[in-house]
Amino acid sequence: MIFWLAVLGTCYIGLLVYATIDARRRINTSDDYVMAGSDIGLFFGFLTFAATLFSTFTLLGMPDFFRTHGIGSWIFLAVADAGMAFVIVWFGFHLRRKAIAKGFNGVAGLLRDCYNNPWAGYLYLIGIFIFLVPYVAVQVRGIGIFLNAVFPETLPVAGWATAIVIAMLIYSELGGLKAIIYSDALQGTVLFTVTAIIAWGCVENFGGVTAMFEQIREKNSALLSVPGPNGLFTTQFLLASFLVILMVPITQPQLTTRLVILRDMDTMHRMAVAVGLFALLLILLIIPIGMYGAMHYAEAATTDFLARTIIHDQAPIVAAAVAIGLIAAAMSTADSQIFALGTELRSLLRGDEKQIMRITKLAIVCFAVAGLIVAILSGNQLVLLARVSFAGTAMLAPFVLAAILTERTPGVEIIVATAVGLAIFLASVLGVIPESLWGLRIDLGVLLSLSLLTLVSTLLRRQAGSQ
Amino acid sequence: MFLAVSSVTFTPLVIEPNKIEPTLGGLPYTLWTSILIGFGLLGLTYLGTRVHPRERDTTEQQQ
Repeated sequence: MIFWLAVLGTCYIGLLVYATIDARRRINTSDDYVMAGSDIGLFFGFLTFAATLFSTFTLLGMPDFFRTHGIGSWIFLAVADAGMAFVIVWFGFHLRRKAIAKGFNGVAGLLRDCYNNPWAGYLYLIGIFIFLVPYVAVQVRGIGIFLNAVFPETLPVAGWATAIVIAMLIYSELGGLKAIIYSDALQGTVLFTVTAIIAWGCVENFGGVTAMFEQIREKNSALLSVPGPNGLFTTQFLLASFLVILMVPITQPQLTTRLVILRDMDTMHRMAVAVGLFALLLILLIIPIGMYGAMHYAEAATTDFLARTIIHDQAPIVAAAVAIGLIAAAMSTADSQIFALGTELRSLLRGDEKQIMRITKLAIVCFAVAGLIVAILSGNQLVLLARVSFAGTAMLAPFVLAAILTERTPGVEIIVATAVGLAIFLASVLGVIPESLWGLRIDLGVLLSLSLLTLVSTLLRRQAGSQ
Repeated sequence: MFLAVSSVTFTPLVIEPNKIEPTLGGLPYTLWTSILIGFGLLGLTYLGTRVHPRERDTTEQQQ
């Protein structure tokens, strides 16, 4: 495996260096650096969106979710992703129209202009900082734990995490968003290919799909229905997760920005369908990997299960490709988020362009360091930590939608309510208040309340304006 | 249509607790029904992009 790791690793680094140099050569303005020239076609648009969306936990967290909680994971992840494709088309249309009308340097700047209030921009930046940094940490820590388990003699978890953050910063700082998009395309291709190869091997091991589910039924039939062996997939959990994932393109700036920088509306439409198909096929491929784990490594710890299933039980060349694919996945998702945080900060700054770019680049380094610190200090519940991140940013959805969908200036009460909602959700995550109240999950309750309040505020203001 | 199809996912029609039968091609009930829903939602999305050409044109003209 070490031989193949050296060969494939050299190829990957070579391609990354080439992509960075090529991207750097094409940078003439700050818009080229931050927005990749706003002229991304279908191929790169689809792969960069998919790679940014599907991260380390595609190959680490999701198989473990199927292994532990069973087939309800399909609803949790795949049905929600298919729904998200629809949201991309709907939201993307309105976003691009608004971006043309107001100009677009980032979502925070656009919100400030739509609300005509600087606090709208600050609130968005604070919200995404609080909830994206843990998600960056998920990527970095996930891959650090995994590589440490597979190569225990090389580096500790913190060492792997630091090495990945440094590599990511080098090509992001040098090549800007275009370098990130090229690395995303590379990662998306590698990730899908290795997942397909492993899934095929798992199905063959069972003797076919029917045999796979028959054997799982004998071993632990609770895996084949909801709510699953641990009772996780209740209707409320699935519904809350569905809504939260639908909101991802609306509230996560690394994805929102990608909707605006696509060449035209038709490219965006085709990209949305391609991303949805990619998601469904990829998660279908993950099912046998999780079932294989449930059959052979049901009692093993997560890292042990993953190290055995996707590395030790594979041919050396596949194992090496998995290791490279995982590193690429962690880097491509985390760098997009860190870069997006920098872009959002930039969209709120005014003044000398060179000075703004210097501040942006410095901020990207600071965000990366913050992500690294959280990665080193956080626990190992990767998927659930990611879900908290998605849920936290989802609280911003009504606030963002009010700005994008309405022609009138939305009210300051939406900004205040969103700030309060974020504080309540954060308090529930930190355990200050319970996760559920009167049988209703806090995240679902806050999201519904903010949606209702935003709707009422928008309607009342429209009515008042027309009188 | 999108709302109707996604809402079905969260009813006992798809997520009835502990229901495995009837299977389809060996797939347990909740899995095959929700796979159909996933691809159904994607199909609706594709149709959505095809039936709104005027919206597309309007935006491109603005660009």
